[in-house]
Formats: sequence, C-alpha cells, structure tokens
Amino acid sequence: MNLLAPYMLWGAAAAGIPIALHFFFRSRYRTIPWAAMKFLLMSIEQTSRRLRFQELLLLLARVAMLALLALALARPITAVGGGAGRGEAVDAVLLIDTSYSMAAQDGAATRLERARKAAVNVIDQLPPHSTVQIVTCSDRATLAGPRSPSALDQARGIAEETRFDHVASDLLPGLQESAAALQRGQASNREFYLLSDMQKLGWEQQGGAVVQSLKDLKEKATIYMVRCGRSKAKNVAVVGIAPQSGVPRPGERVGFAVLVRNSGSETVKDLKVSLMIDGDAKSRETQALDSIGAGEMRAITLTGKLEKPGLRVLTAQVEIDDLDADNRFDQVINVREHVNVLIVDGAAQPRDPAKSASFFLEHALVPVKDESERLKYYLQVHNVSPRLAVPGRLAKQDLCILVNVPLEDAKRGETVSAEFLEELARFVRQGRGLMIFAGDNVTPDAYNRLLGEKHKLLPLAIKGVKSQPAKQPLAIDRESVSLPAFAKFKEDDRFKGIGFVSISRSLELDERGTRWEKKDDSEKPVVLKKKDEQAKVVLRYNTAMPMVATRKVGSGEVMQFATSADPGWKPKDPNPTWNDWPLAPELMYLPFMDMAVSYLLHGQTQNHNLVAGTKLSWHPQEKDTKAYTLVHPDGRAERLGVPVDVDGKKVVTAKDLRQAGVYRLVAAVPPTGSSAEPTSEQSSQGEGSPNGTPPDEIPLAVVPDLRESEDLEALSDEQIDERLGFRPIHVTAGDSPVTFSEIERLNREWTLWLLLGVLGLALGESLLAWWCGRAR
Amino acid sequence: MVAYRLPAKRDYRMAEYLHPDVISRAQVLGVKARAIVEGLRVGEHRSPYRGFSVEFVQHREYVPGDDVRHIDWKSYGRSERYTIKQYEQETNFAGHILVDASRSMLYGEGATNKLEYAKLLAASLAYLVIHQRDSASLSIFDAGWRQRLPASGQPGHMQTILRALENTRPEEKTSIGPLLHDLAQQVSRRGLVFLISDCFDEPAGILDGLRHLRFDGHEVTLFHVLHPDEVDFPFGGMVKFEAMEEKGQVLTRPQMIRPAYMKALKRFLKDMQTGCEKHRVDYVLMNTSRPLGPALTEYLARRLRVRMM
Repeated sequence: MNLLAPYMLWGAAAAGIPIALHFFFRSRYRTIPWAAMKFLLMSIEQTSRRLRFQELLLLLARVAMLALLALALARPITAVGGGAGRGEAVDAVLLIDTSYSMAAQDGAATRLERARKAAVNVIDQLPPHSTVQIVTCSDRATLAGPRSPSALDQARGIAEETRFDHVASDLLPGLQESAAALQRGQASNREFYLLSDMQKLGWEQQGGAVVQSLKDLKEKATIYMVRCGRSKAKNVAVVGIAPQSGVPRPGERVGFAVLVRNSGSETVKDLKVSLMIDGDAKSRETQALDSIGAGEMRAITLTGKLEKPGLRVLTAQVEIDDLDADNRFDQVINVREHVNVLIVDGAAQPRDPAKSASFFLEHALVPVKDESERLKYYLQVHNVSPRLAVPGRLAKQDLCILVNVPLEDAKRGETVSAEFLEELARFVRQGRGLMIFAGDNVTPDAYNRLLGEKHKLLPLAIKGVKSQPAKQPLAIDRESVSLPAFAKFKEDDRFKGIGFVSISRSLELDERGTRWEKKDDSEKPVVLKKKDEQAKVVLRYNTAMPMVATRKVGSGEVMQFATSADPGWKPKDPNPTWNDWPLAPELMYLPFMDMAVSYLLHGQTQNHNLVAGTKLSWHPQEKDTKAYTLVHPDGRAERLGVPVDVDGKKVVTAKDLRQAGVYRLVAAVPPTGSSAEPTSEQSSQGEGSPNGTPPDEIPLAVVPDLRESEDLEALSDEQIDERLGFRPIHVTAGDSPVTFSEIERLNREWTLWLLLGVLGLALGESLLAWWCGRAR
Repeated sequence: MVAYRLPAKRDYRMAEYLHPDVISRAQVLGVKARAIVEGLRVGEHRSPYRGFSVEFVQHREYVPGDDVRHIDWKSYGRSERYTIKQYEQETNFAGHILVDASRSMLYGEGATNKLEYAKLLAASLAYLVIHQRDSASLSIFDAGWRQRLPASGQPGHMQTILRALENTRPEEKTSIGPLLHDLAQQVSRRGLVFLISDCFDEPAGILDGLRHLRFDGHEVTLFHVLHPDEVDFPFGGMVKFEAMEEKGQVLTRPQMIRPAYMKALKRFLKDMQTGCEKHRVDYVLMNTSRPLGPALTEYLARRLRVRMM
C-alpha cells in the first residue's frame, strides 16, 4: 500500500483526542453529596460492565473514525511500487507488441489497430502532468518516443503510427527497455501497459527472464495487461521454397516445392498457392489445394521458367487469410550456367588416377563418361595438386574441395601455400563453399592450427585419427541426419544403403568445436557465441561420433568430412584402409556428394535470403569503394554509404531488416570515381536481370520469422497469472473507448471507501451513543 | 374551630416552621382520628370506652350491681322493665410525630431540603393536633432516638416542639425499623403516628415496624419525603456522588445509569407503597419540590373522605 499524501497521516494523531477527552472529562467532575446511594450503587452494579463496554465501544468508534479520516486524507492506494490515485500524475510506459501476429484480423480490426486505439485511450486518460513513453517490441525493443515524455500529443501520433514487423515475438527486450524507461521517470506513480495479443511464443522464448522482468516491474509500477485480440486466427503460412533439381540453370523450367503450413486451429479449404519469378505476374503459376488441416504442412509443386542466369527472386503466395503477414515468401536463387569446382587433391596419382584421392569424388560430381559431354556438363571440375593450388585458382570458382591435402608436413606430399589458405578463407567468407575430406595426409595439429585457429574455417577441431578393428568398422547412422536438405537419406528407403558403409578409419572430431576454443595471447578461451558461427553435425557414426559437420563462415559455408573421399588404397593391400563408401553404388556415395555440393551451392545465396530481424552485413569485394543504398520493399531508400573495414574485411551494414519483402542493395560509383573492378558476383548479376535490374542491384529476400506464426496460441489471463505468480490487471482492448485505467485508479485509491467508512462509523457512533443513553 | 393566630414577632420559631398559608389551609380540615383512639380526657374523637356521656348508644337490661341512677325511668313507665341507657364516650388522641433526622435528610437546597421540609411538616401537624386540643408528641431520630417530647395538649408545648425541631442537626444514618418497634412498645394508648422520613433504610424493617404500630391499634401515616433530584435523577456530565450517611463515593456519568436508577427507585417506592397498603398505613409521598400547603391539604382532605375501619 502506498500513500499519495503521507504527511496527512500526521492527522492520525487526532485519534488521541477522544482518549484525551475521555481522561480529561473523567478528571473534570462535580461532586454531589448523595443520599440515595443505595439505588445509585445498585444501578451502577447492574450497568457498570455494560457501561464500560459501551464507553470502550464509543471510544474505539471515535478513535477509529479519526484514524480512518486521517488515513483517507493520506490517500492510500493498493498498488505496490507506484500505483496512481485518481488525478495524480503518472509516468506511463506503453509496450506495444509489434510482432506480426498482431497483424491478424480480429473482428472488424486487426489486433494492432486495437492496440493503437487502446494506447491512444490510455494516453487520453492520463491525468494532467503525466508522462508517457512508448516502447515497441517484437524480438527486440525500440523506444519509439516521444522525445519529451510529457508531449502526450506526440505520443498519440507515435501510437497511431505504430507498424508491425515481420519478426517473432519475444517480450523480454521490450520489458527491459520499459523497465529502463520507467526508471527514468520522475513521478512516484508509474503504470506499465503491455498491449499485446499475449501470444505464447513471446512469453516462452525467454520465459524465466520474462517472468522475472515482470516481477521486477511490479515493484515499480502497476501492470496492465491489455489483450488486443480474443478470437483465434485462421492462418496458412508459406514456410519455404525448395528447388527440386540440384542446381537451377537458365532456360530450364524448374520445379519448386512450395511448403505451406496451416498454423491455425481449423481446416482451410480451397487454398490457392501461386509462384512467380522476379515479381513478374505473367510468370505466375497457381495451384489450388482442396484442404489443409490444422497443423498440417503440405508441399505444392509449382514450376517456373528461369530465363536468364543470375540472382532471381522467387515469390510464393497463398490467398488472404486472417494473417496476411506470412502469406508471402520470397527467396533469391542463383541461376547458374556453370558451376566451377576446384578440387585440390593431396594424394593425386597421375600414373594411376583411379588411386587418386579425388577419383571417386570427381566422377561422382561429373557422372558423365564421354569426355566431350563432360565439357558440356554444367559442373566443371578443375583438379589440381596442392602445389598448383595458387590463390588465383580460386578466382572464378564456386566451390573448393580439399581432398586429403597436407598442410605442413611435406613428407606426406605437396602442401598448399599459406597464400592459398589465406585466399581460401577470403573465398569462403565471400560466400563460397568449401569441402574438406580426410585422408592419410590430414594431420590434426596442422588442420586445427591453420584451418581452425588461424582461418577459423574448420567446423570441428580434430582430436586425432581413429582406426577401427577390421571386424568392427564404423557405420553411418541414417537417423542422425539433422539438416532438412539431407532428409531424404533419413526418410527415403531408397537411400538406406548409406547405412551399410563400412568405415575403417576416421578423424575424431571434437564436438566442442561448436564453441571454438582458441587460446589467444591472454590465454583466455574465445567462445564463438553467434548461432550461425556454431557448427552443425550433419551426419554421425553409429557411435554418435560426428562424421560430417558444417559451419557457416562469413557468407560461405564449410563442410567437413571425418573420413576420406576415396577408399584409401595402399600398395599391396587390396582392402580399403579408410572406407568402402565409393566402391558400391548402393552405398549412396554419389547422391550424397551431389546433395552436399547442391547444399553448399544453394547456401551461397544465404546472404541474399534473410529472415526478418536479421542485421544486414554485406561483404563486397575488397577493393570495392562504391556507395551502397538499400531500397526497402516500400520503395524507401536508405543510404548505407561505402563499405567500411571491420576486422580487415570490407562490410556494408544496415540496421535490422524488420519488414519482409524484397530489398535491393544498389551500388553506385561515388562521384570521385573508383577503379574498383566488378566482382564475379556482380558480373553474374549484370548478366541476368530480366526486368531491367541495373547491374549493381543486389536483391535481398527477407521472409517473416516463421516462428511467430508456427503457433498462434495465446496465453489466457489465468495462465499468465499462473506464470507470474501474481495477478496483474487484465483488460481487453475493445472497440469502445476503454476507461479501465481511470476506473482502476479510482478503485485503487481507498479514499472514497475510507470516507464512507468514516461516515459509517460516525453514524454508528451516533446510534450507539443514542442507544447507550436512551432510557430502558 | 380556632382561627389561626399569627405568631408574635418575637416568636421566631413560629414564623420559621409555621407558614400561614399551610396552617390556614390545613386548619380548615383539621386532623381527625379516623380510628378509635384512647385519650385521657373527653374530646372530639371516638373512644373505645362506653359510659354515661352525651352520645346515646343503646339500652340494656338492668342487672344487680348497676348504679340505679342510670335506670331509664321513662322506659320503665312504658315497659315496666328496668333498663339502663348507654352512651359512647368521646375522647382526645395523642398524635406521635416521628421526624427522621439522619444525614440523608440533609439533601436539598433551601425549601426543597428534605429535613427542613420534614420539620415544616412536623410543626404543621403538631400545630394542628395541639390546636384542636389533642396531644402531640415529637420524636426525632436517626439511628436512635435523638430527642423525644412527650404528648401534651398544652399550647406551650408547641413552643417546645418548635425549639426541638430547630435544634435538630443530623449526624447519623437512619435505622427506622427498631425505633418503630420501640415506640409501639412504649405507647400503650392507641393514637395517631406520623412518621416523616425519606425511608433510606431497609424497607422490610420499616414496614415491619409500621405493622407493629398498626397491630397495636395506632393509626399510622408515613410521609415519605423525597427530593425531586432523587425522584428524577436529572444529572448530566461526570459527577462524583459522595454518600451522605456512609463513607463512599462513586464517579459516574449519571445519564448513563439513569435508567437503572429510575428502575431501582420505582421498585423501592412500589415496595413501600404496597407494604403500607398491606398494613393499612397511609402512605404519602411528599416531593419537596411541591409546596407543603397543597400537599398537606390534599392529604387531610383525603383523610376526611376515607374513614378507617
């Protein structure tokens, strides 16, 4: 309980007045000699206890009346930590949930519209001299303003202009920002309004911290939970576009699987799904889906003709439902005429190519017998020895594969140069792919030191080389497949042969590589915390040891194999020393390698395909001095400037891209002129711009954070109370102007009730006095 | 009837206790004995003795031994039988006036003082009795007999009574019952007894004493003298009541206990009145707020109307 006018409590001292009067009047009496003492004593004997009780009762009533009056004038309020009484200035903080579930239609208005209206009403009902701060929050918080907290008109404007983001809900950042805003307030009376649809996701992402934050807020302010939507939303979301061929090539009509998911609570019928390329309505292909049940995910195959090479934007859409925000899904794909792969073979056998380490791999990547056909094949392999692997070799490659390459120990064969490794690291960070295969030439120490610690290319550190007994070879655990791209090896029985591969020798990969530990000069481990920097184990052995791991490095990705790409033939030994994987078609060597290459090539557009809320970090060529401008989906241009050096790399950054859609990164030559040469990527973009896209325009597809619409279930008031362990004030933002805060402030202040109590006591005292004094 | 004579100027006692308006009203009515009383000389009041006086009562047969002077010779002439005429003897009475002079009688200011009121009443009664040539005795008591004047019908006795009344100063508490028994034993001739008191004693003892007097044939009247404060208990505020007859004091809010007080007083008065009616004792409640003249006149008039059996 707080007091708005605590100094009035001094008035409670007046409660001593009846007591003082009681003793005063007891000491002021007149003396009367009395004859009929017998009757007097008799009557006193009969009435003394009752009289004492009545006197005490009257005294208590009078004392209580004065004490209550003082308490009423002190204006007590129920709220802890800064509740306001009626008319008292308030420091209000409004946290508006701007995750895109707030865009769902709820009756005649969207949830966000209801939130806006409720926010304006809250501001309208703030007592004079109040201040307000508006914080918007999806999975990150923004103090929207107003700049001067007492500018309520400005706050109304901000509330009315609040827009939703295509970002998932997480209440914690908003609560933390709100707590900071409340802390900055000057008034003792504070109110915190959470205007949200109370989606479960927002409460669960960092559940414990959210609850703790609200508990902390409760100590500072009165908490209002303003629910901005009650009805359940009917929603079907496009959750992905997957090309059905390995590498899309120009002139082909390519099939794409459009994945749609019904995240609502009811079946949706006659759903139309469409796909178009580069926003060209003429290219739109539509297919109807009879029905999709609640929670069901379906893949609809749609085709699109990719006319020209380069970066193309695929757009899949479903028809309008309650939640528009996730009805569109954009994806940038790279349409290539050729894919260049550089294989660095550390154990090449020119005299007996079949014994080379890359022999099976090369044939798996180019499964064409005829030499002339090989030249026409879209995937062009350039196989070089480590000695010939010079930095320039990487210039126009899309993928590099290190096969059993020694890095330091020349006894094991030719080593690659440090310059090549340097260039290789840059090559990967610019968005290319790298595959590393094991072999006898792979020494854990050199790999860990050079590829791991120095260039941070190695997904997992190598602990050592492990040879299995001949009778107990390692096998591949199909069930361990973790990436969706490789899911067919787990789910499709046609690929079950991969489980019969016998692996005699393998590198022991240290799974702690998911948190790269490197001892720098300060001898302190450096932990890579970013999620995209952490390695993922794609495939494991039957002993749960990692077999294939992958890790994003910069804009590119590295895939590491714990075993070799070849059987590991040894002279005079007819048995494979590493594995028998390439030896039999049914062991699915070729499909796996094909999928691995496709995965890495497809991943090269990851810099172009972002999830809403991601920070844009674009790595142009080292010598690029062009100024970049980011054109938003709504046409708004944001100037990003020239690339800056960060850790020795050029980077162009933009703030969080919170809106889904197709962005364009436009590079323009500064007026001063620049001798920067166009990059291979820029060249390829220049080649393929069917809709007149200028050569230096880089498309970026930003899709909604689909975690948001995965489960649209909202927490009920009771569930919120249960989580919090206390009961905030729950209100629903309706169409009519809400007056909850005003009523609550009035209800919270006890003055009126206490005054009524004083009145009641006065009445009671009068009646009691009359009753005590009346003749009976 | 003798006209009231104003006392001489020098006779200050007469002026103090015999108010002309009281005497003039009461004298008209006089104090008549309603029962048979026994006196020493012929008077206005009926006597239990039969004799040869003025009032003829009956004839009876002559029996040897009767005085022949009382034979009614006229009757003998008519009936030739010796008969004797009998007459009722009339006598005077002795009025015993008992005045309570305990400390409780001191309550009241001026004319409403209970003792002064009682003295005035006693003097008036004594005057009326003596003035109609009956005898009056005065007994002043508290816990015992403080002063006793024998019955006398001499005019000078009035002065003695007045002096005794004047000199009375309350000192003790009341104890009425035993004194009434004492009086009943001492007074052999039937007469009138006037008890003037506030009766702040045990009602049972008082009523027992009154019954004793009635048993001895006395005509008894209880003048219950109360102050209006004692009847109405009109006090307010914080009051400390100090007992007048005993040690003790009570600090209280009178308005809070008034109902209980009134209840106890009413019960006491009712007990007294009922007890008196039961023993055929005249009960007269004298509120000192009421002037004595009308109060006494009313009593005497009522007395005339009701003859006691």
